[in-house]
Amino acid sequence: MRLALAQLNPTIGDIPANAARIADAAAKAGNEGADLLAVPELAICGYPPKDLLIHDGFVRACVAACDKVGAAAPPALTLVIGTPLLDEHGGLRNALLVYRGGARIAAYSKRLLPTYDVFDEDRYFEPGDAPVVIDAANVRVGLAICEDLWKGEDAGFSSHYRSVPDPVAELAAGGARVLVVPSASPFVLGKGDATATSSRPTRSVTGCGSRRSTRLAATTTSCSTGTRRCTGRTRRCTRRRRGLRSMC
Amino acid sequence: MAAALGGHANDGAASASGAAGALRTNGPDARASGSAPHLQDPLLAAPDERLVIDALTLGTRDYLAKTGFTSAVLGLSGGIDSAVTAAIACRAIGPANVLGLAMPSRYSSTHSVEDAHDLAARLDVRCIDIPIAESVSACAAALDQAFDLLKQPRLGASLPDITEENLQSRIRGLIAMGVSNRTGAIVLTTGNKSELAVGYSTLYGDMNGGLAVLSDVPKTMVYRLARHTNDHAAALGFPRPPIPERTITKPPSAELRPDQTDQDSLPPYDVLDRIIEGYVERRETPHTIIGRTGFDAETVLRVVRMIDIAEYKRKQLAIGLKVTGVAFGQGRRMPIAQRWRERA
Repeated sequence: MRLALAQLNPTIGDIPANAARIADAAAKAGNEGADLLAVPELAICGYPPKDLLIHDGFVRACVAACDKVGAAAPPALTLVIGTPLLDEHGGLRNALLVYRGGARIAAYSKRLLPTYDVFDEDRYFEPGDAPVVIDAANVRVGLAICEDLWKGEDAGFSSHYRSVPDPVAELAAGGARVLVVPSASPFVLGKGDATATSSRPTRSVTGCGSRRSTRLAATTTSCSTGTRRCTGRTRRCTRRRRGLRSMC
Repeated sequence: MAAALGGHANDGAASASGAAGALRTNGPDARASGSAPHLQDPLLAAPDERLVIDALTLGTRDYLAKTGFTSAVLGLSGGIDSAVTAAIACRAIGPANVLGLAMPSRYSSTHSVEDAHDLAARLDVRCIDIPIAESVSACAAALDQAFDLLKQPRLGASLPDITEENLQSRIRGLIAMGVSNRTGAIVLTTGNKSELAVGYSTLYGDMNGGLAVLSDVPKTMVYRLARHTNDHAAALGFPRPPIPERTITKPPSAELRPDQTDQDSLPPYDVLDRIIEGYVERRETPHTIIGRTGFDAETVLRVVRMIDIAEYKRKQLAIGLKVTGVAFGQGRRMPIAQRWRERA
């Protein structure tokens, strides 16, 4: 499996420009033979959109832009775009939309919504209640978003999630062998070390398969101050016997 | 029955939200739609203006008491915002604990200083004169030195521009803060919701202060509060109607350049306030606002754009007292570096 991660620098609310960035990354990933491209959490609108989310028309514009990019993306590419999404009851979700062959093939709603420090997601979003595992290049790929993976552990807020199911455990139970985890987490001095050495994700995916399983957390981060810019890149996924490989 | 941002003075949210409901409608039917006759609390049967005045009074009193302030200082311009703020401050902590600063510049009209002193006399508040012309000249000389070196035009090269207008406001802000430092009085900032919405205010100038008393009160409501205060002075605890008639009737002006009025830059306040109510409180699109109000699209879009781009100023505003459904601050959390623009 060949994975592409686009480390984008969206501007909040500049939906046309953000969509163009994703479309460029999709074209590039397709040219380089990637099977799957992930872009950051809420990449279509930028993070954090705050109360723009509750203005009429904003979420519709985001989803319409995702559909347009998804329809025009290389057909063999599995494209995972972070976007706000309205569910059938009008509830707002922090979602991933997955496109292949010009069509939407899956949608995932973030299950753990951080509401501490700079994060304010309970103000806007309803949590998802189900794991989503998709097939891409004959690999079972589990979808998660940022906090779903860290569960507040890196910031000392894991107690927020004591009474809710562990999204990663449910992905593992659903047969996921690779996790794709778009994120939009701000820079914190020392965070790279903390996430690299975090034992939780490794434990969580232990039940994911045999020792020969491919275990990968493809995490794309977005520096919310927007000062850091990385261009899209592709990377060959190698088999690893132990632990997660973070591709931040 | 006031609710302050930051949870500093939150007492009886039900009453505060009653006032908020009233403010949702700025038209002539506001009273009818805003009252809550199904509730038996006689307080809620009071007019909207009284509810808001009481909420602001309690919010100011509580905030100062709980943060350890016993006195307040504010600039008195002769205009309606500082007049209403001063009246509320007097109700909150007593006139002996309120100090007014009249800080006329070369563009202040004679009546402004007269009206400031008239207000102070009616409120029994001490008001001291600190003309700022010399301070403005001194700062202007320093700035002109910089502009010479930068090969920029000097101040006063044409009509006062934004640089010179803000200079006056900032010198007033500096003096108020200096008095605060020396005396321990909190600076009350007097900007209303309408001007803060569209950014008709000066950062580090008239926006200076520890508490923004009127930051959630639209300008049209400020006028209603002034009228109500005068009409019901005794019931509100004032010995005489405190607000000079001329303060209420003259056209609003920042007086930062000759013959300036607010309406040089802004639509009439009754129009502006209904657009702000739609966009901020109801979170409507310009399209919806245009359909509901019948205002022309150009005006609505211009105001919405002004609201959008003034976010960076509001982020630096003193905390304010909440009286409407959506107050700036915690109630409306907008990103600043963003490019979403509402289109009709």
